[in-house]
Amino acid sequence: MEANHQTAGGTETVSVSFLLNGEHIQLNVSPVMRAVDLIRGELDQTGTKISCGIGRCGACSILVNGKLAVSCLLLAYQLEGASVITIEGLSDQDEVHPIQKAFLEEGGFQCGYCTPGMVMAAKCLLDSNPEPDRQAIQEALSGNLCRCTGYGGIIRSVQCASSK
Amino acid sequence: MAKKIRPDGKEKVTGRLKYLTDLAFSNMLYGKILRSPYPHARILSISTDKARQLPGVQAVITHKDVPGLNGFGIVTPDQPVLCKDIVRYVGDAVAAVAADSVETATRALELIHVQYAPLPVLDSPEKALEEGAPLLHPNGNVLHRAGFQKGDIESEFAKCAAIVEETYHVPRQLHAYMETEGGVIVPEKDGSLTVYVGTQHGFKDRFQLARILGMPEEHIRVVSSPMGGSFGGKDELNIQPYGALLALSTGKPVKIHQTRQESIRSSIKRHPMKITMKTGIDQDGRLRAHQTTIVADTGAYATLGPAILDFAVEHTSGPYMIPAVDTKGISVFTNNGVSGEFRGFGGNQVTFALEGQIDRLAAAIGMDSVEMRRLNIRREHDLGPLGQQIAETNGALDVLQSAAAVYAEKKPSSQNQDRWKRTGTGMAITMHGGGLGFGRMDPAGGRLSLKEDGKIEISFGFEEAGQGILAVIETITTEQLGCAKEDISIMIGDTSLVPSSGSTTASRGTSMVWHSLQRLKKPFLQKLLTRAARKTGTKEGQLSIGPGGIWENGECRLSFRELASEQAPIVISTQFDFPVSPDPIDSAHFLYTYSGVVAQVEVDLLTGRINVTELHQSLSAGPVVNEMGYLGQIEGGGVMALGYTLMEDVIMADGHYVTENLDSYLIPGIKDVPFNLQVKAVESLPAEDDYGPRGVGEIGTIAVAPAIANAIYDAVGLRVSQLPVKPETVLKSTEERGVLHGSQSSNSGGN
Amino acid sequence: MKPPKFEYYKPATLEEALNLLEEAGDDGKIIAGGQSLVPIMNMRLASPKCLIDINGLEELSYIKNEDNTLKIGTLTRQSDVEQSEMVANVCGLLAEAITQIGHVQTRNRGTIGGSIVHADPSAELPLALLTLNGSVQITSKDEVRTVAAEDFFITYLTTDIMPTEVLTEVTIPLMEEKSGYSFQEVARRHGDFALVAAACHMTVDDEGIITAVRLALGGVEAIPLLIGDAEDILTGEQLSDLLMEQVTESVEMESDPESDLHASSEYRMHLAKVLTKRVLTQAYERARG
Repeated sequence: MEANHQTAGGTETVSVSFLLNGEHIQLNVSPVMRAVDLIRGELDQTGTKISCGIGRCGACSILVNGKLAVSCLLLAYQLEGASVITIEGLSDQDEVHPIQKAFLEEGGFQCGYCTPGMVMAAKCLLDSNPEPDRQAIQEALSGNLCRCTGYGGIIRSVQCASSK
Repeated sequence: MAKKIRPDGKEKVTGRLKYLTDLAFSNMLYGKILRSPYPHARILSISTDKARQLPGVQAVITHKDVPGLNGFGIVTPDQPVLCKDIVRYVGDAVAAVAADSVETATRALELIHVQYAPLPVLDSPEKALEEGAPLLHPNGNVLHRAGFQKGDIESEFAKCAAIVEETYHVPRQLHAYMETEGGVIVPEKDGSLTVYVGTQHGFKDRFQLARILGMPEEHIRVVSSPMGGSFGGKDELNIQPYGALLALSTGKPVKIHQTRQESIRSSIKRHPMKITMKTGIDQDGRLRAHQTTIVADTGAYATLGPAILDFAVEHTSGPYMIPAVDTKGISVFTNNGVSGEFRGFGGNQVTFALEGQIDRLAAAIGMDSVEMRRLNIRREHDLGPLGQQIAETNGALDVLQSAAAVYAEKKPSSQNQDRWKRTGTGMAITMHGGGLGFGRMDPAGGRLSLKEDGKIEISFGFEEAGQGILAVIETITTEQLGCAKEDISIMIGDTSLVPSSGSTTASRGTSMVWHSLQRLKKPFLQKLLTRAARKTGTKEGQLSIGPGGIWENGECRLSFRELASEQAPIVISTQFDFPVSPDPIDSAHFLYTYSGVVAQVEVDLLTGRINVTELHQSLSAGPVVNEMGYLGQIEGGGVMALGYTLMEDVIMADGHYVTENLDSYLIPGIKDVPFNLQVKAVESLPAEDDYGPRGVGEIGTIAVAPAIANAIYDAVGLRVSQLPVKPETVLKSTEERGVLHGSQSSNSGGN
Repeated sequence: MKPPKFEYYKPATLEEALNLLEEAGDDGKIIAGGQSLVPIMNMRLASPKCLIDINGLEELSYIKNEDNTLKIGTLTRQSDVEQSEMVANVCGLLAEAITQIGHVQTRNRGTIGGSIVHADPSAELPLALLTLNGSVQITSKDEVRTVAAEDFFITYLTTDIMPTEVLTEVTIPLMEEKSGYSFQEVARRHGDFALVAAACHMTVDDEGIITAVRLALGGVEAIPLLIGDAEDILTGEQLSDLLMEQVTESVEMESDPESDLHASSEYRMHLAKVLTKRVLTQAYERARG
C-alpha cells in the first residue's frame, strides 16, 4: 500500500500511464485532478469540452476502454492502464470519421461546443447498434445536452451515419 | 441540391477548433473572481493580506485597482467592476485574484476577508416600488418607463362584446450557452492588451474596457470569436474587466473560465415579467381595445433593460390591427441578479401574453381562433405597431395561412388512444423587429479586399457564436460576386483586423451582410475588371467574374492570384446604418420577420406531465440564405422556447440562486423534444422589396410558448397564464374540473 | 470548483483496502465509480480527507446465479448489469430499474455498490434491492456480515455501514414461481433523479391469486420505503380496484415526501399513489402472463 500512498496538500503526485488516442502517456498528476483537466490542460487536447462539471451535460464525454464516460466525474489517476479515445482520436488530419461527416452534412452542430461529446456518444451508439431506431438514438444521446440545434440536426446526423 | 457545409464545420466536428477558453499561453496565470455572498449589503472592509501571502498568488485586486471608470454597462455604466461600498446582487464582484493555478486562485478567494452589513433585500419589483424601500441607485428603483397609446381606449372597450383580462407571469430564463464565459487576456510587449474573450460586439467591449482601464481604445485588441453559444448572454461584458486588470497588474496572460455555478451566479438572464392584459373584441370578431401593463424585474443593473422594455411595449399588439392600444411598462431594479439581453429581447414575454389573449377572446365569442386572427391581422400596407411605416410585406398573413393549414390538418387528430392521456393542438403567430430601432445608433459596415495572395477577403465586425454567420457570409459573398468559396477568406471577430459592423445581435447579422454586399460588390467588381482589362488587354465589357478568377467567353482568363500579383490590394469599404422607418418614432423597428407556430401536446392526466409531440414553424423572413443554418436557427430556437414553456426557471429565493447548475436548471434533452421538428420558410417578398434576407436568429423562439399553451388548453382545458407550466398546475386544474371523471375506473393505473 | 485536497490510496486487494479503512477511521471514504461522490466533491459539498480507490479490485466485479440467488459484486458497473442476459432472464425488475439510472455515461462508470451505499432515497438501485428483498454483504477487517435491505437504509444518505466497512456484495433471492414485476418512475426530465419511483414484485397462482407481493417507493421518505401493508392487503386475493385503493391509502399513511424546487410534497404524494397503481397493475398482468 505504501506504493500509492499520497500525503495531503497536493504537493505529491501520483503516476498515471495510459493510452490517449493510441499514444502512450505517462506523467505524474495531483490525485485531485480530474481527467478532463488532465486532458484539456496538461495534454492540451482541448477537443474535449467542460461545461457543467457535474456529469449532467455530456460535453466532456470520452471513451474509456471503449465505454462512454464523462471525464469531469473521473479522476485523472483513474485512467491508469486504460485506452482513452477523445474526439481528436476519431479522425486523422485529412479524413473525417463517417459520423463526423454526417454531422457536417446534416447540420448536427452550431456553436460546436457540445459536438465532440455528442459525436463520441453517437459513436458509442453506432458501434454497438449500427441501425438504431428512434428510441435507441434518444436513449444513447440523452446524457448530452445541446443548446443550439434543438436536436433536429443531431438526430438527422445520426440517422444519416447509421444508414452508411 | 448539394449540402453546403459550414466553413467552420470541419474544425468543430473534429474538435480541432480552438475556442477562446481553450487557449493557453506560456507563463499564463489563472484568474478567479470573488463575488458577493449577499444580494444587498454594505461593504465595511476588505482585507486581502492573507490572500496575497499565499504562495502562487500573483495579484489580488479590489476597487482601488481600477484605474479608469469603475463601472460597465452597454448604455449606462452603472455596474461596478469591483464594488467599493455596496453590493446589489450575489454576482457583484468585490475582488479578483491571479495565481499559478486554478486551485491556488480558488484557495486565495477563501482568504480574502470582506466584512458586510446586510441590507434589506428587494427580491421583487413590488417590494422595490414600495414607499420607503431602500434605493438601489441614485435615481431610485425605476430603471425605465415606456408606453404607447393610440385611439380612445375607453370608448373602444365600450363597443366590445367580450373583454378578457388576465395576468401572465414569465420566468427568468438562463441562456445556458454550453461554453461558459471565459478566455485569456494577454499583455503585449508594446504595452497594449489583447483580449481573447467571446462577446457579441468586439468594438463595444473595446470601448468599455478602454474606459475601465484608462487606456486608449487603439491599445486594446479584442478577439471575440468563436464562441460556444451566446444567445444574447455574452453581449454585455462579463469576465473581461477582471482578466484585463489582472493581466495588466501581473504583466502575464491571465485565463479566466467560469465554472457553471459561477456563470449562473454572475450572468444576465431573460427578464421575468408580470404582464396584465385587458383586451376587448366586438361581436364581429374585431379586436377593438388592448390595454397592457408590463412590470419587468430588471435586477440590480441596467445593461439593456430599457431597450428590452421598449421592445416589449412595441410588440404588445403583435401583428394585429387594433384601433385602441394603451400600453404601460415599467422596468424595476431589484436585488435579483441582472436581467438583460436574450434572444427575442422582450418579444417572447409579451407574445406569450398576447396570443393567450387571442385564444381566450376567440373562445369568449365562440369564434374560430384562426378566423379571428385572419380578421384582425395586419396587411401589407398597414402601419407598424407604433404607427410607423415599416418595410411592407405580407408576412403576417403568409405565416398565418401556412400555420392555419397545418393546424387544420392536425387539430382533428387530437384523439388519444390512451384513456389516461389527452392530445391537444394549439397555434400562435407573431411579428418581430430586427435591428436596434429608430433613434438608436445602429451602424453597420463591411470590407471587401483582393489581397496580395489572390484571396478575396470579406470582413465584418461580427462574431460567430454558433448561429452560422460564417456560412451566411460565405454564401452571400460567393453568390453576389459570382466567385467560388475557395476564392474567398472570411475575417471576423478581431477588432484589429475588421471594420465596425455594429453588434452581432437583434437578428441583424444576415441582413447587414447582404446589405453590405449590395454596396460593396459594384465598386469592387468594377475595380477588379478594370485591372483585369489592363492586364489582359481585353475590353472590360467582355470580362466577368467567375469561380477562380476573371472569365471571358466561358473560359477563365486570369486567376485571382494573377490579378492580385505585384500590385497593391484592392480594398472597398462601406459604412451605413441599419434601415429604419422614415417616421421618427423612438425605438420603432422597420424590418420585421413573422412566424406561425403549431404545437401538439400530449398530457398525462395522471401525472400532469406534458409532452410536446409536434412543433411546426412557418416563417416569413425573406429568402433563405443558407438552408441548414436557417433550419438550425428555427429548430433550435423552438426547442429553447419549449424549455422556456415547460421546464426552465432560474429560481431565486431572497435574492439567492436556488438553481445553481444544470441538474436543477433543466434545459431540454433529446427525449424532451419532438423527434421530427418541422420548419417551413415562406420566402416571398413583394417585388419592390429592397431589403433582402432578414435575420432569423430570434424569430424561432417567439411564438412557441403560446402555441404550446394553447395546445394544453385544447388538450385539458387549462388556461395557462404562468410559465413554465408545471405538471402540478395541470394536475390541480384537471382534478378541480373533473377532467379525469368518466375515465375514472381505476382497474388500470394506466401506463 | 475542483475537488478539495485529499489523501489518496489505491489498494491492490480487498484486505489492503480494509486495513486502510481501519487506519483512516472516520476520515476514510471509499471511491468506486465516483458518479455520486465526484460531483459532490467538485461542488465542495463533501471533502473526505482520505480517499481509498477500490476500482482496481477486479475480484469485486461479478454477476453470478448461485443456489437461486443472484450475487453481484459491489464493483460491477451498472451497465454490465444492464447488458447481462442472465439478469434480464432471472431478475427483470433489476434490469428494468437499471435502465432508468442516469445516462449511458454514468451507468458505464457507476457501480452497483456505490449507488446502494450512497442511499439517495429516490435512487433506483436501493429501491430495487428493497423490493426484491435483497441483502448486502458487508466486510470489515474483522468480520463479514449480511444485512437485509430492509435494515440497511437508515436515513437520508445514511446506511448501516460503518466507516471501517466495505459493501462487498449484493444478493437477491430469485423466485421460481410465476412472478411479475414493475419498476416505474416519474422524473422531471429523463435521467434526472426520480421525483417518485415505485417498484413491485409479485407472485400469482394459476387462479390469479396473489401469493406474495412486495411494494416499495422511492422519493417519498428519507429512505426507500417498503409498504408492508401491501402484503397483508393483497396476499390471497386477486388484484382489484378496491384493494388497490386500500394499498394507496397505506401509501398515503406511510409516506411523508418533502417539498423542494423540483416538486411539492403534495405532488410527490399524488405520484406515489399513481405509480403504486401502475406498478401493481403491471406486475399483476405480467405475473398472470
